[in-house]
Amino acid sequence: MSSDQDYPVLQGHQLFRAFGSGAERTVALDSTSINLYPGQFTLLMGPSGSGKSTLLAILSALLPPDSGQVVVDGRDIWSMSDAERVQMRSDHFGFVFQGYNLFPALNARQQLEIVLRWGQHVSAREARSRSMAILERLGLGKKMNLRPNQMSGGEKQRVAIARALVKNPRICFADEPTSNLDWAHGENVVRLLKEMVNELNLSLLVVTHDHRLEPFADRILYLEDGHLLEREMSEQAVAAYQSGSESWEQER
Amino acid sequence: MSYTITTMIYEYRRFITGVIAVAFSLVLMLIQGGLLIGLFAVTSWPVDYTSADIWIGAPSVISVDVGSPIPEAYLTRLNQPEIARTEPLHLAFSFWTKPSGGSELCIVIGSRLEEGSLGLMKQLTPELRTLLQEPGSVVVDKSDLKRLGVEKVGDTAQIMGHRVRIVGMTNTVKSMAGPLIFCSLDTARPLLHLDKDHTIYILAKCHKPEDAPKVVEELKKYPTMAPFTTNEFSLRTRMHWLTMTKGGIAIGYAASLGLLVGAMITSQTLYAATLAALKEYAVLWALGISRKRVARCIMEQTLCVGILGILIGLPVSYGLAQGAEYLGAPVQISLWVISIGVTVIMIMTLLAGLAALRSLRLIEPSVLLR
Repeated sequence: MSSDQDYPVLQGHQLFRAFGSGAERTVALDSTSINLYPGQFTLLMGPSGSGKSTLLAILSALLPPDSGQVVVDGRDIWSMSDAERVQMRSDHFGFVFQGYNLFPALNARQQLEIVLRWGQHVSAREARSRSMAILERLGLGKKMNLRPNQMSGGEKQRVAIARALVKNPRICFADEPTSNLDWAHGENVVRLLKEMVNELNLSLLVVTHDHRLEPFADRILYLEDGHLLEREMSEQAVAAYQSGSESWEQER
Repeated sequence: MSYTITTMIYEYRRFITGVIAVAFSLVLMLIQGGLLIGLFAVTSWPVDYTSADIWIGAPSVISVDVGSPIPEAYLTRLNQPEIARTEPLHLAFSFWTKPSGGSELCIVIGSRLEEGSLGLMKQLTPELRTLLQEPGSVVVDKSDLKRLGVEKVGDTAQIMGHRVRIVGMTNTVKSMAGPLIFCSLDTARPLLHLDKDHTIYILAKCHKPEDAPKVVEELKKYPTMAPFTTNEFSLRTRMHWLTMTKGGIAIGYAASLGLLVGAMITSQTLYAATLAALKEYAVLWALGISRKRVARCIMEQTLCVGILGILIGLPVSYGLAQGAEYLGAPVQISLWVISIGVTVIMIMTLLAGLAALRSLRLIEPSVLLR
């Protein structure tokens, strides 16, 4: 008997993408297929230039593939019109970027409100209360009126997560979410992401180089030369996860 | 407060150049326009400085200084209850022959000299009017002496072969077309080769000035004469000079150039501000906010830049106009010059904003994912 958890929320089929032409041509993705499931924290790893970011961009409707399909709710998002794709991102996708990419002029609460008001035409009142609720949940209750330049890196990344999740997306994409943070803050961010996966039944796809994230993932995918490999979590990682990340940190 | 305004306040350095460019364009337009109007107001001076409400001239008269004779008998056509008084005015171009030879185009203005006469220029003092009662006597403006080849009161010259003697001078009357020569109706007649029983204009005063348009409308039934309210005739004269001299075109060119420079600076500023925020727009786009909504945000910023520029430009223009006035250049920034200026500037700014929208096609996920 299958449950909702077994049914992928997003399916990428036979994705192919190359850049450049002639002798300069490089293949970033070669017949890559991937499924993302609800309530699952998927880690996408691989060396620099392996095509991780390209795959993330194609799955998240930011970059078109040369061929292949990305299916959400039975529809290929790359066969949709631009407007439908924007709507799809608005309704279902959240993003956390490596460089935070917060709006410098807006305070923490406004960073979230703008997404609800401009993207989903939510009323000012509702946008405010929903933004405040998730900021509270992520421990930013006292930081709501601060602008990015008044916050630490960890706080900024938490605001970025709140901004990604305030719309209640089904899928959240995160690109190197910890690379700008020291591990104490980085770990905090990953733990929060992990908690949100469980609370919101979210499908989270994190692209990273950082092996310290492995213990938190439900599933780890490796991309090398455009080909995707799935592997079980290393015993070392499982052990580290079970004994807490502090001991794992010491091991390193 | 809207996110757009919050952003503009925070990033004000990005927008300040645009605001200054809009203000600069507006100032340039208003000053040029005001200068144009101020300059050409001189041409309608003889109309503006009389106390008549209605002017009657020959059919198709295009400007106050190029009238042609009409029968004085038309005065009877003005026997209407709304009209209080009427009188003739002999005003037209003529030729002044300098004592040393050589001639100069001049404008002869022969009017009644009694206190309160309709055609009487306010600058003619009672003393001058008494002196002008002597046949062949004229008053000229001090600033025109050199042009007329005379030096002082008592000098003589000829107009259309008739000898005239300068009995006094005014001090403030300027004319663009030619020196103004003031005299009595009787003195003017031969100087303009005007037949007996003819005049160039008939002036009328209404009991109530607001009746003038109605009376003028009524008088239009006579095809052999052309009636105007004083305002209409003044405007008609100025427009004639404006189009005849192409002065409007010259100043219009200068104003358009200012507008073009302003438009380019504004457009570039908005474009640069948009480029600077491109990553933020890319984030919005990634989060599912349409390019259309982002475009609206840019147009709101554009609108703010326009409004701020206008709010700065208006008082600056007013100050500069006062300064120009002080230096002797007549700058008249009338309400309709302001309306036209503000409208054109707003359109220019919005077009600049639309041009800045081209940056939106540069929104690429590559700026977000490395």
